[in-house]
Amino acid sequence: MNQSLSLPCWHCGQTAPQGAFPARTPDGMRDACCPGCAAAIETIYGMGLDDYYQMRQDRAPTPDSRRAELDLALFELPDLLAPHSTRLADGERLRFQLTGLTCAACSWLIEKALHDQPGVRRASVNLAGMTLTIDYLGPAAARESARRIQQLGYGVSLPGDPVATAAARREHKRLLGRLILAGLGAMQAMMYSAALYIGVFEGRDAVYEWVFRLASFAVATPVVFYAGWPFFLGAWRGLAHKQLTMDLPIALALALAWGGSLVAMFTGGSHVYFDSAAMFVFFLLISRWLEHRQRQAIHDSYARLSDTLPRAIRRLTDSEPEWVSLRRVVAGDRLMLLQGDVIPVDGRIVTGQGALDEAALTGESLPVTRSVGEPVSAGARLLEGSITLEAAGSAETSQIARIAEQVELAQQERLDVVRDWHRIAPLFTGAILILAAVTMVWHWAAGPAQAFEYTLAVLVITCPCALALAVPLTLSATLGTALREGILVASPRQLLRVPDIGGVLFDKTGTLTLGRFTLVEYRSTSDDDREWLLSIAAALEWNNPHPLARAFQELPRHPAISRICPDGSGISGELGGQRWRICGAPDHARPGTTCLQLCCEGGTRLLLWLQDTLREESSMVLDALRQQGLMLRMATGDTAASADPVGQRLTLDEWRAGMKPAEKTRWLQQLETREPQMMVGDGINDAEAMLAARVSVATANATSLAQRAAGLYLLRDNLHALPALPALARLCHRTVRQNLTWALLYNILAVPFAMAGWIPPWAAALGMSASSLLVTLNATRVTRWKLSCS
Amino acid sequence: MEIVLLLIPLALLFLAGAIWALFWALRRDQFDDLDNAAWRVVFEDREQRVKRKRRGQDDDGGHP
Repeated sequence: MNQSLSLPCWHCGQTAPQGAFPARTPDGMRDACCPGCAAAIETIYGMGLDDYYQMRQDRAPTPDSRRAELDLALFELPDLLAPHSTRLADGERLRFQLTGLTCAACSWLIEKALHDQPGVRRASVNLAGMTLTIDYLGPAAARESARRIQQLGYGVSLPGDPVATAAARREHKRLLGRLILAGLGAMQAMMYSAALYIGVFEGRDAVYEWVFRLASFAVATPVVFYAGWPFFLGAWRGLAHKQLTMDLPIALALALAWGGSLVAMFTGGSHVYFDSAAMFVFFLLISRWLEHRQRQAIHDSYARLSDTLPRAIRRLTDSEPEWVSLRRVVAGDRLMLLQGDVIPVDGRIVTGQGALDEAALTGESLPVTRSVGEPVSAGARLLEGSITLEAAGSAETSQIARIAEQVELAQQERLDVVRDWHRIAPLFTGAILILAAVTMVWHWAAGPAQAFEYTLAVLVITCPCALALAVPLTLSATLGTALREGILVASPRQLLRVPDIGGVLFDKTGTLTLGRFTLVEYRSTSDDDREWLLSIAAALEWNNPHPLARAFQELPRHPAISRICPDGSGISGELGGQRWRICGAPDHARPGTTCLQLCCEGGTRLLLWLQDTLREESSMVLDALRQQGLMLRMATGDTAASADPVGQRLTLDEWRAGMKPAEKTRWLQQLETREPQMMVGDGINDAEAMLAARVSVATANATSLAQRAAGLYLLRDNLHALPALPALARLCHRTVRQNLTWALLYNILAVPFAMAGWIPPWAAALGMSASSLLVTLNATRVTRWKLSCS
Repeated sequence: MEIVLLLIPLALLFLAGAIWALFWALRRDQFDDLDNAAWRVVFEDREQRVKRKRRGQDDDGGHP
């Protein structure tokens, strides 16, 4: 049996060689692609939850077994757990952050699986926020629940800053409460006022009219003062800082409408405007709500990114390892690191040696071997071997922590949603107040009641509702559309800047290339059949975590090889009593490739050349970008030997190799002085340059630090979205412009009529609503955009 | 027309009730996740059916 068949994995859908990882189920064998998936299938069937496979709408994610143990360790450290749990009358409540949820079936699966967990009383998954809340008794229940979720194939960790999250949730609830109250109240107030406007009470007993006015007062008052409270607060805060904010005319209109109507009610005035006030609050809150939701969505997407550095690590005390939180590490601590771990702090190796993947840090695509006495940097991943590390300092002092800090700062700035129109707010506000005052003075001769009515009409009709809705609504529609097409916009501001860019700077490894090796050529150096030799090589490399080994994953494997084990610089195994070994052959390497040799009892039998392959779509995407008149450049930390072939193949305008992160940043800043640039990257080494760029994009396989640093990140593992970005940004710009023009035009046209007293306040409120509706409908047109048609 | 004097306060009471109910739901996180609730019904339905089938009391005849 030389040929092995490939099937889709029953769990995650990736290619699974038949029989490689069988999962035993009551319905027979299922093929999995890795031990993680096999375990997930067995767990799910074992619990009788196999319905999941029929109900799900999407494939499950491939479990990341490398993080499993580290993630579980989080739930053993009280000082990490404590800030996230709340004490209940009987037990505790804890929130988990989940990853890998694809549809409602996933949340059903998790809830069901935890239902029977001893010590767990209640478990509920929030699919929108990808969080899980459990009520449990006893510390073991939390850890066991986390383990169970992992067995199902999902990622689990602790959510971000618990205080900030709780505050955000409270604010979200309060705003929703205000919106509900305003909506219900406004509808009721309108109803009562409609009766008053139509004049059903003319010629009847005055008591009826009075009852209706009283009812409309009763519903509008909580709307104005509870639901509308943020506007009063905003106006007051603005005044305290000597600034005219948009909230000021709103608060003024509300106070005038409510106060004036109250006076009219008791003095027998002709009209009350409680309904206008309530409607006003409702429409304004809708725009606030949209804005808030958008900000929350951005924030949540950040929260779901896994931490770049582990939060828990094994520290050696008296040579016995114990889990501690990363924050507790100090200089001189000895940390134990096993295969697959990410180095948590900068330090020096004291025992052992290992192959480290520093691609994310330096751009170097091949792993480097480090041994005793050599320094290692936080953020690198240990691919092979195990080492003991002596920390050079605490976690905050490492190089990567400094970058992370900058990224964090940039994020904070980004969460202040786009409110560029707020620059015109003081002008606009000033103009409204002046117009209102002029109206009041102009009509004063006709009596205070008349003057008041006209002034109110001016304040309502000039309401910046449509203006306030124009930007958030359009952005919200654009961001939603982008998300549907696989682009996550973390910074709307950056998306809007895309049409201005004059050039794109790419990273190489993992961005233009797959960061993944493939076999380009192999040659037998003896009389043996080269396919037969290749199957031996594939069998030896199978299940090796080294990036080079991935090139062999889908090749047919020789089934009879036994005793496969890594031996430092290569892998060896036995076949028919002979010892076979695969290792590097640097002497035979050609430019841009890496060479391996397969030896039998010391003699070379097969030479293999591997290459980091270009992404399939790279050249097409780059051509499309070039057609838009963009200069294409590449900066890589890799050697010139591997960078040049890529640069030539893609006919880039300029490329530089061997660049350190700071050099990349400097080059980008130089380019930025000439014209705005877009930076596309995936590694920690690109993060700094991304922060300096006008627009930054992280690819789907990027490290979480790079994703946090980027303003946009691609959710699908290809570059197809890049050439479409300018079109989407232009569409958004155009729609915003249309909306703003309409809103301003409407205000300018309607104001003279209102000032002249031709528009009653109820008509003003209606006109304002119609204007807002138009803006809303126009914004939804953006959602028709598709990636393929641009 | 006098009935209005009774109906309007009644309507206001209903409104107050509705608002209270909505705030009650809000406080209990009922609006946190709107997608999940819609699906849960379907899952529980399936679960019931599977349970019945396993007990060998599959009477609905839907599956041969």
